[in-house]
Order: sequence, then structure tokens, then C-alpha cells
Amino acid sequence: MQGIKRSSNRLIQVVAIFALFVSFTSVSAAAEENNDSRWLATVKGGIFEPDFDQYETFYGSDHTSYYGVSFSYLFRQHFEVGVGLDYSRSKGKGWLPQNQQTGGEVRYSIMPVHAYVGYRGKFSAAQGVVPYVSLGLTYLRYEQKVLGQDDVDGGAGGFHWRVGVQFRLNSFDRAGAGKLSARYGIENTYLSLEYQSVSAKSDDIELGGQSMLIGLVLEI
Amino acid sequence: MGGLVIGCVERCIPLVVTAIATVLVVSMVHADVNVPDDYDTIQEAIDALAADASKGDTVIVEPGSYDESITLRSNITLRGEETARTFFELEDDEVAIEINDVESVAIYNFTFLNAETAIVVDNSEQVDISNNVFRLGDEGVAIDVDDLSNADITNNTFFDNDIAIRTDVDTVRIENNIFSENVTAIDDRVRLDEVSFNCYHDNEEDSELGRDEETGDPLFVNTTRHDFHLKQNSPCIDEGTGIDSIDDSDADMGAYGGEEADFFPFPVSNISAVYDNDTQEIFVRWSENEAYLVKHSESAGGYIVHYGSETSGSYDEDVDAGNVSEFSLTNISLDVEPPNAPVISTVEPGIGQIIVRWPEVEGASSYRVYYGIDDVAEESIEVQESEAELTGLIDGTTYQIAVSAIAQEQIFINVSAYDSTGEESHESKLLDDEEDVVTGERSEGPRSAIVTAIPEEVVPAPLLDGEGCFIATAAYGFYDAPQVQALRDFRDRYLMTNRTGRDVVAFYYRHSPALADYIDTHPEWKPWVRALLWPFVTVLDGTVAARTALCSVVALMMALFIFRRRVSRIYAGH
Repeated sequence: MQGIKRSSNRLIQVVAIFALFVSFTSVSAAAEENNDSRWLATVKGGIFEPDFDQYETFYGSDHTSYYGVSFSYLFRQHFEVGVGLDYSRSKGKGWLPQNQQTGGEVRYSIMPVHAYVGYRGKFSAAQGVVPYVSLGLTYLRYEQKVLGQDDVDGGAGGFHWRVGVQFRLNSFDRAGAGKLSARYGIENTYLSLEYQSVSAKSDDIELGGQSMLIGLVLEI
Repeated sequence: MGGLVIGCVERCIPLVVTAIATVLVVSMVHADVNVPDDYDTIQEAIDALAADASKGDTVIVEPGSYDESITLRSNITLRGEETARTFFELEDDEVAIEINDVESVAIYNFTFLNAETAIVVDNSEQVDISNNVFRLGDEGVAIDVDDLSNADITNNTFFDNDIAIRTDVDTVRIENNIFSENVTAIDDRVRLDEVSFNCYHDNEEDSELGRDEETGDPLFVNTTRHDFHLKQNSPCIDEGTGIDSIDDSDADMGAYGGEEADFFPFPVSNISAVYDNDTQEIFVRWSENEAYLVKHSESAGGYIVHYGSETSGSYDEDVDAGNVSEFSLTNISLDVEPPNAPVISTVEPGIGQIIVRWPEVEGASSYRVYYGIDDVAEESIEVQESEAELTGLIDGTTYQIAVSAIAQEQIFINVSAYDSTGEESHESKLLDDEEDVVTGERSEGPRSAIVTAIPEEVVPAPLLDGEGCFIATAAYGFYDAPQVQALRDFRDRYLMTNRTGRDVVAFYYRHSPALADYIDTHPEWKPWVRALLWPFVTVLDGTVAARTALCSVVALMMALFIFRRRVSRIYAGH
């Protein structure tokens, strides 16, 4: 899963190029288009690679599934401020110190809560590809359930950042997009690809990690 | 023009004939549904067929006990699969089957054991009630036929009812029935012309006997077990009108004669089997079936012994034992070679326990797991699966563990009866709960290599701090305090091992964090909480000195109490 980091670097480069390209080519259009959207709602899922060193030893793989939702307010066309909630759960074994082996049944889950500000490179209402970047604070809630033993739970503060691109889907089904706009006020629908990095430490143990996520974004 | 017409007619005739034949075939095919295979209840099955029922559509009811009140619909036949084991048992104030404003219905092969009235017929035509047993007790009415109805009541057995048949219409045909030990056999409020070939015995009031009646004990096989087949020499054998479908002889009276009777002999019971290791024989005994088609001095049926070693209820061998009630299966060896030693694959310690797993060993029927601290054979348990959970172990102590495989041959045995109706003879059903099993000597193989493990707490990864756990943790200041450990041990040994204890722990977990938080933020309370917990902790895990101190305090308090009461009495006397 070292691939997540390589892929993320490439993605960051691509997004940066996109952002520059879109920014330069869309400046003139920005003045002409009238975009009334004010909110973004996102549902996403993907894979998460925890930064905790021996994660694979105890949970059998170096990554696990990861889900999230976020909701943000757009202002001055390009800026957003929002909150998000993610969730990830792993099932594996614990450590038996006297036996010097892994054993037992452990369910480890994290639930990071984010507050963030971001920038979206969107300059026209019908722009097909929208790069974005955001960063903010994170409170990561954790829980460890060990079969037959007491639960361990707690929280840790930290930060996160993310970068990604959103691909506008309206052009694939204009009639459907029109109905969504008329009935629910959803002006644009995007498919998003995102790299996210979360850092939150509890007693010097890093509980965050890297994730690659695919999502659905509704611009309302 | 004419040629054209003829040509059309020639082409049409085969089509018309085909269509008519199709309609005829379709109309002759009856729909059958099964309860409980197709529908959960009899009424659901009836309602499902009723919408489009044609005469003869049948609801077949598997053996079992049913407590439904049924409303029958037109053109539907309700048939129990086996009279002696398909029961209607309802409350004393309920009607089992109501037949109102319908036509062309039939009820075959049920035993009615309890109800206010088993069957009520009202304003219905072409009702056929045959080959049923009615035994409702001295307050039940078996069949009640009311206004504007006509019904054929044939080949039923009425035993121990208040009223067997009550009717206020004269369009009822009553034939080939047995009335035995009822208060009233036929309560007719009008004159009945079609009462014939019935058998009466020991009814308080027979009423109208009709033509060609028989009297005398019908010789039922076993009324206690609801087996109303007839024994040899019964006066009801071959004395009815019509024929018995089972053997084409003159019809018997009662529930097992006539054309709609079920053919199954009553299941064989009281099967016992014993294995003799010296002679390698299995002696099998059972209670004989006394129905005259199975046990007869001139023409008898017999018994088949079924046996197999795979699983209960599955038999891959059978042998015709003839008309006997005991039989020996010969040349059967139950000796087995001891299986190989298992190889322990995983040992998984936990708090006070160790889970051991190993691959299955060929030929093993069970396994014995040995474990101990100084010697591996200090304790042992036997398990059927290739996994064992060793519990009640001491945390932090090294245990030795080994496993051996045990082989033991077993043979499952069951017996069925068959009747004397020749090549097409009928065999009774095998009942699982009558099965017996014989087992050979146990043969235990060598033990596996010894492995060691230490029961202990699982440390989850990453190692994180918990929050807001226990009042005791808050009071004593840290999670690993010996007093807190003593309380945890008490929880694991005495509370988590029973349901009530687990409920108490769950309640405590739900409500303790808030109190623990309060104690954390108000340290002045900690000494008081520690003082409250001290007696418990001391009893659970205290040193001898601490326990002695506790006993002294308790004794001192009791002495003070007694002294105070005495002083009070003295002053009260003055």
C-alpha cells in the first residue's frame, strides 16, 4: 500500500496542473457565468492506510475501508468552509505479551471529525473538471473492542488536508440534471477523486493515515 | 370455393381435437398442495386453492398436531397423510372444521382429539367425511349436520365422544362406521333411511342402528396410542359394504377400511438394540404391531430392520426380519483402530482461558484435551469438534496442553412394519425418536506433542488509553492498582460467568463513567469511595493481616451493638 503515497504525489501534481490550467482558461468566463450554488454535500468511500507502524501485523493488511460525509458552504465562488465525518473499522488480533504472540479478537474503529477551509478552482457553472484543496482541524475518536474484555475508547486532536478533482456529471444526463435542479435545487453533480491525509496523535501514537477516496458531490 | 372450405375444415379438425383434449386433460389434473411444505397453515392452503378450485383439488396435511379452526371451501379435499399421526387438537370450546354454504368437499384421514365439535356441516352439499378417527371425550360432538345439507359419513371410527353424529336432516348416509364407547352414537332428530353396515359397541345410547349392523368389541390395536387399526378376529373386518382399496377385499368397518383409508401400518415403537462384542451380533427388539394386516395367524406381514453408521436417521442397510419381534444382526464388528495423534495448529490464550485448535483426524469421533500446570494430564475434557475452549484458568500461569483422538464405531437402528398385501405391501414410516444406537468400545489414540500457553489479557494495538472506565480506577488513581485488579478478577470469575452477573456488569458499565468522572474532578471524594470499597477489596484480595483487621472491625461493631442493647434493657428495667 506504499502505492497510496506514490499515487497521491502524482494526483497532487495532476491536480495542480489542472488547477492552473482551469484557472487561466476560465478567468474570462467567470465574469459571465452566474453560479448560484452555495452548498456542497459529499459522500465518499475508499481505502485507508493507517500510519500506525505495525497495523498489518495485527489486522492482517496494511489498509482498510474508509467512508466519509462532508458538508460545506461556498463563498466568493472559490472558497468553502465545512465539516466532515469519516469512519473506518478494522478487525484483527491483539498482542499477548507473556506468550509473545498475537491473539484474541480486536475490533478497532476510528471516527475522525473535520472542520476545514478549502479552495475550489471553479470558474464557470458548466466547468467540467474542478480541482480543489482543503485543510483543517481534526478530532479523531477511537474505540477498541476486545472480545471478553473492557472496551477502550478515547480521542485525539490533530489536523488534516486533502486534494482532489471533481468531474462534472451533468453532461452525461442533461434531462436528469435538469430535474434534479428543478425539484431539489441540485445544480451540479460531480464524481470526485481525492487524496486525504489525517494526523492525530494520542501519547505519541499516530492514529491517522492516508486515504484514497472516490465520492459523489452535490452542488446545491 | 368448396375446396377452400374443405381445406380449412381439414386443417381445423386436428386443432379443435387437440384443443378439446387439452381442456379435458387440464380439467382432470387436480392441484395438490402440502402443509407445511407449501403453506404454514391448513387454512392458508385452503384459501390459496379456493380462488380457482376444481373438484378434487387437495390439501395434503403432513403428520403432526394442528390446533387450527378451519373453514372449508367448495371443491376442496382435505386429506391427512396418515390417520394415526395427523391430529386436530383444539380447545374445548372450538370447532375444528366448519363447512358452510359449500359443495363438493371431502375430509379424509385425520384423528380429532379435542374440540367442542370436530366438524359442523351447514347448508352444504356433496360432503364426504371418510376414514377419520373422532375421540373428543365425553363433552365433544364429532359431526354435526344441520340445515339443508347432505353428507356421506363413511368408514369413520367414533370412540369416546359425547355424540358421534348429530343431524336434523335426513339426507345423511352413514355407512361402515364404528361407534365405540360413546355416550350417544347417532342423535337423529329426523328419520334416517341410509344408515347401514355400522358397528356398535358399548355406547350408552346407540339410537338408530340401521341395516346390516354389527355389534361387539371392534378390537382396536391400542387406543392409548390412538392406533385404531383392527386386530385379527375383529367383528368389523370384511363386514362393511364396498371394498378395501388396500387389498381389494370386502370393506372393513372403521377408519382403516374402504376406499380412502391410508395404507401405512402404525409405526414400530419401543425399539432397543444391544451389541454383543464376543459374538459380534446386535440384538434388536421392538413392540409388535398387532394390526391384523401385520400380525395374522394365517397371513402375516413382517418387519424390516434398518441400520447404518453414518448419521442418525440415515440407514444404508436393511434386512427383512419376517414376522418376529426380535432379530439379530450378525457379523457386525464395532472394533476400530485407534486414530493417529492430532497436531495442535493454534493455541489462542485470553483472560482465564485458552482456545486450542487442530485439524480433524481421520476416523475420530471425538477428542480428549489434556491440560495442566505441572502435568499435562491434571485435567481433561472431551469435545466433538476439532476445537476446545479451556476455561477457568489462572492468568499468568503456563499451562501444558495435549490432545488425543478417540474413535468409536456406532450403528443407528430403526424398524418398520409391512402389511400382508403381497408384492405391493405397505411399509410403516420410520420415526426418528424411536431409533436406537449401539456403540463399540472406545479406542483412544496417542496424545499430540505438548504445547504451552499462558492465559492473559489481550492487549489491543495500538496501545491506547481508555477513558472513563471504573469508579474504582478513579478512586485508586490508576488502572493497574491491585485493588482494581482484585475487583476485575471478581467480575471475571463470579459475574461474567452467569447471566445475572453479566446484566449487573452491563448496568454498571452504562452508569459508572459519569460517577467516575465526578470522582476524578472531585478528589476530596476519593478517600470515602476507597473506604466504601475497602471491605470488598479486602475480602477479595487482601492480605491475612487486612482480612484479620476486617474481621476485628466487624466483631467490634457487633460487640458494641450487643453491649448497647443490654445497656438499654438495664435502663428500661429501672
